[in-house]
Amino acid sequence: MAQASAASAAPLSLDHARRAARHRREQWVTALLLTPGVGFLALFLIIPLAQVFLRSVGLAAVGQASRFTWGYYRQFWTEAQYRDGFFFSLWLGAASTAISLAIALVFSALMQIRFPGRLAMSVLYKIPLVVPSLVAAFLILSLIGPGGILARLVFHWGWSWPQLVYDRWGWGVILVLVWHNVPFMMVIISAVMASIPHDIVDAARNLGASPWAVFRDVTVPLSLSGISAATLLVFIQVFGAFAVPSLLESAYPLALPVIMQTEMMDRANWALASALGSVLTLASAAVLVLYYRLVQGRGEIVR
Amino acid sequence: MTRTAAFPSRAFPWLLAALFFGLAAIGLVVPLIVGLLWSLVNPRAGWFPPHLVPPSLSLANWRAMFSVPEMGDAAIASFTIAPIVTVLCAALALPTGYALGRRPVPFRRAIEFLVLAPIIMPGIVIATGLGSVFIRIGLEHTLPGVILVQTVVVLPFMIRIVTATFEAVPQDLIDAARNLGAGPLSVAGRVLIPLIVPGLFAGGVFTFIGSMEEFVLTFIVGSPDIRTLPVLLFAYLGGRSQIFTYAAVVTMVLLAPTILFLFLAERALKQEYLAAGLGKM
Amino acid sequence: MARVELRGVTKAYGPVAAVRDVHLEARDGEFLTILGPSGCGKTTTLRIIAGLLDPDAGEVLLDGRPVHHLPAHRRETAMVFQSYALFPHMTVAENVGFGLRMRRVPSAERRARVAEALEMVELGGLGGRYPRALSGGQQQRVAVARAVVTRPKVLLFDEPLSNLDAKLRERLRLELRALQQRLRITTVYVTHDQAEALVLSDRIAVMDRGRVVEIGAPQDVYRRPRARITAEFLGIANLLEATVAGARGDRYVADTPVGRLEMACAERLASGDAVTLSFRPEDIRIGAGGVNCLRGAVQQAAYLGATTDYVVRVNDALLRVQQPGEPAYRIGDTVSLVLPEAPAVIRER
Repeated sequence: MAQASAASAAPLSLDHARRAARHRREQWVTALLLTPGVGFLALFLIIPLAQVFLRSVGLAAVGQASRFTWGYYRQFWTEAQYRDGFFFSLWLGAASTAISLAIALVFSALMQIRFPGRLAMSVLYKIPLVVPSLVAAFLILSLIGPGGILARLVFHWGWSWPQLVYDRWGWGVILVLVWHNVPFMMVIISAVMASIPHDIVDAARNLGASPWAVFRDVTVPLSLSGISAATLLVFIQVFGAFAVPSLLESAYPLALPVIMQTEMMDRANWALASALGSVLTLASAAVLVLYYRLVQGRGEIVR
Repeated sequence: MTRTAAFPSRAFPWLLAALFFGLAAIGLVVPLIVGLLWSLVNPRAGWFPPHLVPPSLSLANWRAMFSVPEMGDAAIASFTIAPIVTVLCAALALPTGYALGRRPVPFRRAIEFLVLAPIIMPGIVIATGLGSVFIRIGLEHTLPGVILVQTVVVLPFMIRIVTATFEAVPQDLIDAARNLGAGPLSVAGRVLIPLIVPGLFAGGVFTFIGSMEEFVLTFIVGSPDIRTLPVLLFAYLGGRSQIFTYAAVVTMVLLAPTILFLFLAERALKQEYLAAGLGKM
Repeated sequence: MARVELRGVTKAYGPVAAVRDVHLEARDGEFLTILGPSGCGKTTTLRIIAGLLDPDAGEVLLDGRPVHHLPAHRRETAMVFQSYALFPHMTVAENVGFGLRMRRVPSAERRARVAEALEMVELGGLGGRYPRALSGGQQQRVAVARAVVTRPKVLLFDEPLSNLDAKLRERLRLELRALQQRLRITTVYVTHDQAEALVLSDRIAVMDRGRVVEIGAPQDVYRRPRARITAEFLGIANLLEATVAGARGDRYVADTPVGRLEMACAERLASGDAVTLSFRPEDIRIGAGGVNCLRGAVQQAAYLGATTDYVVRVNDALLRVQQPGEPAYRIGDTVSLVLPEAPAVIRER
């Protein structure tokens, strides 16, 4: 009996060893396949980011002595221009996200209705998606700027045009970012809305819901996954935006990314720029964590 | 007929169409026309307020594209860098996308997060890190340096789209090919690759446009020696010396390929590729 | 309590007419079933009543007042969908209370009515659950409760039982019938299941290719169909094309593929009229004697438990015959059949 089991165990373990070897080989193949993409990103993303964090606390500097310090972070918080820059970026992010979201929600819902030319419109509205933000800035500037076409038009009728760019609250910046981000949000949100079964909407109408009530009580709650993802992406992107604020903001306050660029390129103060970059990254990460918390809480209820 | 409180009234779709196309006219067509006019302004006459249209038109600004060295150089730089970045991204993303899409991968969540990071991280932060690293290894202000930084930010789109495309290939097709006697190489060459070509094409469009448009990293790592069209546009629009006419020409040169791609590759911008590239977190 | 009427309703999708000139009336408190094969336009008709679709032509009247200009949410109809269409982001109680909330019913009354409705469909205590946590049958009951809680003038059902397994379907249709008789709400019910239509309805409207071909009480449409499609669609029918050869009073002689048959018909027929005769399999007797006695060979015998189904070849025609009990004949046996003397006479070929 014991002999028999030993005899059968030997080939079994051999088989097991062969299987383990094959498993190891498969894992090597996977690792090899992953290397180009993941390796590239690890090399050119993780190392530079580590560099940013190290420099922000005074380490890993070139040509000068490295010494650990929280000084650059202290400088960020104590000097008004940096702190104001942070809050100005936060304001730009919040305002343009909120406005974009409101517009994108309404128009995504309207895109679900059949109307003549809808197919053409579904291509047309995506154009801003592929327009560089600098080009968007130029186009909007030539439209609403101080010498822009609207200002000229209004002047013809004898009115004066409000200052929309280079203003304290960055309304020009916000307008360009909204123009750029509404189509982006619409792509994501209308895809989710299109996947809501027609019966659900019909049922709501049949039970007495007006078009507005359908939108508020059915369409929006059932699109929350897309809405939250789009909101998060737009907010983080605007929060870290450099080009548009740099062109269209007033002299003070400057958006945090603009300050970073000045510190880097005009003053070669890489350490302070790194500290400001870390603040930007940590704030974005905080928003991201908040998002996952919210989405997970929702995920248990819906779906 | 008493049609008093009709919500889905016959007129409603037409009102909606009018609203959409009206907004598109104001938000898209008018700015584009104004931009085009700016590029055609006669530099000797100018286009000063309160003129609603330029007093005289000329092609002088477009000729500057060839006569002003910085513009010609920027165009050459942009149209050289974008194809290289696209090919580099495709080469890097294909094996990785295959592994992510069709094989069990350890630490999948962490890898997916790494791939997502460049999309959601502020570009200026990546630029800060890469800038200081590149100074150290002597890649700042060089063409390879610019190609590398652009690849960092557009590669994730390519990987995500290629991964989604590989994932979408039905296992049945591969099993059927195997069952009919195809070896691993034949399966790859005759089944897998042909099936993912649309996704690769879409990814290529994304990458090309992404590279053409990339500004922050190119600006910080490349300028002043390497200047692409967006960097030049920034210079023309920036505070010290606004040159609207040249900015308009650069705008049109930048817009032409992207809008052309949008219409040529309408199929490439199918919702699922867009969703894979941008949306799903 | 209400009366629904459709007058000349037409709806086309592109060049294809889904519904053509439909006239239909559901009387006060009546259970009217629209029965037909898939694609016959029955769901389109129902959606037009609900206002979810706009008819291209014709009128929809509720208690004699035209309502086709009213949007869906002002039509006091309540619909139970084939997919149930429960809101996945609301609890059962929120689902049921949705219609009341839209009608601005105060919350105390709303709670009471929701509880009452859930009690009525035997789901009391499940109000806090989400729809996906319920079985198919329970979801169906929620959909019914959600529809009746608003006390609509008209209840509309769009194949509400088709996603359930056979046993549950049978039980729920009896429950639906009892519920409707208790509430006496005018009901329009769409189905392609003939058994469902026979069990539930006060009257059945048979639809085919966008038209209503016949309306009548279940016994009438089953026993005396006036259209071929009705005979074919409701149960099993042996349809024989016949030519009237002679008449004596209300009795006629007709030539059919199985030979010359004698029959009684209340309607007047003339010699040479081309008609179709419909015989139900359970009406054909295996045995000898009397008029209309035919001989044929058994081609198939299928044992169904309570009955046995035979296919018998008579001349070139195949007849389906149903006998109670176990198979008594084998394939190839020659049997004699007696056809009833009062078949359904359909005046079309």
